[in-house]
Amino acid sequence: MTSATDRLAIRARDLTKSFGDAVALDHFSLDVWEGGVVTLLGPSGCGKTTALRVIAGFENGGGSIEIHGRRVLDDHTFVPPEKRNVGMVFQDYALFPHMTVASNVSYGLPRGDRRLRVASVLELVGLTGLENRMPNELSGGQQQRVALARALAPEPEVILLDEPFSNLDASLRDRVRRELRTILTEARTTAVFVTHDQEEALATSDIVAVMKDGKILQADTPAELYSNPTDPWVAEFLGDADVIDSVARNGRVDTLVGGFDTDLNGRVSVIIRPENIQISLGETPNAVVAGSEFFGHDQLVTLALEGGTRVRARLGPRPVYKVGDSCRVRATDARVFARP
Amino acid sequence: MTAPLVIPRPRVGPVKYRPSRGWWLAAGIALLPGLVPPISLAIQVVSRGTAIAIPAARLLQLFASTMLLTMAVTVTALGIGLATAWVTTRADLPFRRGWMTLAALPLVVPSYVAALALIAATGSNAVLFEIPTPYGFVGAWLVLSIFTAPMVHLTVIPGLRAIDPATEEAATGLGAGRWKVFRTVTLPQLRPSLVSSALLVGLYTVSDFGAVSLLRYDTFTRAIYTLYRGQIDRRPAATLSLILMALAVIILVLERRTRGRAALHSRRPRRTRPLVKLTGWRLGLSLTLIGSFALVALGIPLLVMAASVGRGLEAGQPLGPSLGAEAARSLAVAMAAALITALAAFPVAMVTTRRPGRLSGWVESAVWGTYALPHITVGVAAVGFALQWARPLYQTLIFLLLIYVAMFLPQAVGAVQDSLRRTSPDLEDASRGLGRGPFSTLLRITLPLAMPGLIAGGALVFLSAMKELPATILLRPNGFETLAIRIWSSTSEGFLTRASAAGLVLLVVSIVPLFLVMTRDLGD
Repeated sequence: MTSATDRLAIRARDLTKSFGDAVALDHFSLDVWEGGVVTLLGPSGCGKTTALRVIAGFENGGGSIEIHGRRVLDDHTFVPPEKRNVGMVFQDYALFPHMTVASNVSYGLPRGDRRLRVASVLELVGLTGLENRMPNELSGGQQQRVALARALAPEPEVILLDEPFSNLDASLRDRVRRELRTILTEARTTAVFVTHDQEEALATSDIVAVMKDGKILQADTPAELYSNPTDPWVAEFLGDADVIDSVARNGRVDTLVGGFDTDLNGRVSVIIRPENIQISLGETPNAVVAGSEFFGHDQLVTLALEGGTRVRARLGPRPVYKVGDSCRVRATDARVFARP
Repeated sequence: MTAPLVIPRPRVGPVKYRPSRGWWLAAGIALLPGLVPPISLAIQVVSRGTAIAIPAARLLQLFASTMLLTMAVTVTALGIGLATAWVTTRADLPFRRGWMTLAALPLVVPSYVAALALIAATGSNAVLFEIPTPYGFVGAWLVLSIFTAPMVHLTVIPGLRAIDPATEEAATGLGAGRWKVFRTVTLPQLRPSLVSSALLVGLYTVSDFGAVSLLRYDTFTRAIYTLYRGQIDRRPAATLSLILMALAVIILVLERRTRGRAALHSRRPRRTRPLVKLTGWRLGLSLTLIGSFALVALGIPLLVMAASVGRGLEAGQPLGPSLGAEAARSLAVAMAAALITALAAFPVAMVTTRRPGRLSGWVESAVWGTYALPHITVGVAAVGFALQWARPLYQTLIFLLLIYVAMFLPQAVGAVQDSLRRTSPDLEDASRGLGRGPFSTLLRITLPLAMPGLIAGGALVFLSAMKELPATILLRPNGFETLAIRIWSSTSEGFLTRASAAGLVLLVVSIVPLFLVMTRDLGD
């Protein structure tokens, strides 16, 4: 990381917002380092879009926000959106339908000769030559890139992207995602994404912040978040996971698939990812194959343990397991959380 | 990149994005003229003693005759309108789109022009049929049924389009015949639009003054006018007006309720459906049906008026030396009303579409409430208001225009709301996020995108103001003759040539705004 990372681009503290009885933000706090790409990830209705809109200034709320050290929101301050120097890419792109691509992109630029800037931003997003098209004459992917170009043109300090890939075909999504990441790196802009797609979040971001009920549960690098979740909900939300309830005693918890060390005592949940389950056929069996889905590069085998608990195992394509096969199941790794 | 530091202005108390006080204020001012008539009427009636100065038997008789006409017209218009809508949306008719527009056109013919055509076409001096003019119930029923059928036509077409073809195909797949599919699948899905259009026709019939006054059928509106003209005591007319207003508001509330439920249906099916192939007698029947409707509703009135004008010219009768001046007055007043009303409608549409909440719900109800008010009652109420509280306004052009704004605001608001709903509020947020303030955003984003709605709304108001009769009769400045007044008074005095000439001019002038409205309503 470069020296730019020692400055905060966004510093949001204790943001609160409710719509009638529905709480959208519940003491939401977030730090984004300059140049960082952060994704707010959560199920629909968790408040992630509201967080973005409050940061942009489209909604008012409680708490405080600083953008590049400048206070834009607190109990006595509300800087309107047009003075926050924040770019926004909307889920439905919100391109002005009555303006050409060039007029859309130059909309946020100061008076004077805007052509140079428009041309260079359009080149950045690979849309040179489409200046005079109207938004309805563009494909979904092109519209998305115009929206991005429009947001980048005034050189905002921060760019916010609300589910920017959700309106694209699955085949287009991966490519546009990679391109967008490259463009953002080139423009050296701080970016905050919002998405409910975990794969997208893990692949695009430096930091992923998992949200639930208006709060951030955990914010970390994708790898750390996946392998070291600090919250059972995060563990289950990110990737596949199975839960085995057990009781911990003397720094140890025993389950049907093996024992694990823990600092906890009493009722616990043991959360196991399918790739941490191993199967062997020769030993004394402790499980029966209850189902299997074959994906080509791998297979997901569902195993019924004694007592009916089920766990899943992600295994290589060979050997092929059949329903009814008896086998020995062992977990190589697991996370242990206290159970209320 | 170093941005200029903006020192935030400290504010006290809760701050709010979108300072909306200006919009609310503008919307409130726009609503004011519409609230004056019903409120002042209620005060006038109540403050002078609640004793109804009309015998109960007379009241009952008026109620019965009004309801009889309303029921008969509604049923007939539903039949005609459903038929024209189905044939022009679902069947493979030659020149289908042309027929679709044609079947909507009679909407522009005011009821008093239709009555004039009927009177000129029949009677002792008939241009067409040597039969006695059907004054009374039959005449009013005929005229109103034919000329309200386009309302059903226009309401049912979107309803028919919104039905997912898959539901009908599923029924066919389950072995239902074409007629059974229509009865058990299509018709039930059309019910909201049918009920809604039935209530609209009912509202129109209850409020109509032109046809019933010229064809001499006694309903509330005609009785109100007779009482108003015949007595110095304005109390009976005011009392009857209040009763009629209440009746109209009840019908409108029913209509809004069915419409609310209709909105739950999916608006646009994903696939287009193949048209029903018409052959042999089915094609003949359909063409006969739609052709004869166009002939009766458009061809005959135009023909009869033209013949009447021709006959008058032969006989050396003057067409009315003041025809040009009357046309100019009608045009000027209608254009002024269209402009002012469209302007007034914008803030109302903004607060109701962009700032939903309890307050905007009330604004919306107030707007729709004024839509229900029969114009004759608005006229009676406005005269009472001016005489009692605003004497200098009485019989002035400004007051007439204000009352036009009151009566036609709902039409303009509806059109502007339509175009605002089509544009996402994200567009305005996007503009703010790109550094434009609220005013610049209004000028560059909101207004250009609302422009089609403002134009369509203005065109609607123009059409309505050109046609408006009862309120204009009561409120116009002395000697201020418009086309509508000329047609009505000349017809009732038997000067059919002068009336027909004015009628033709009125229809010709209405064509351009009508075209603007039609392209909006019938576009796919």
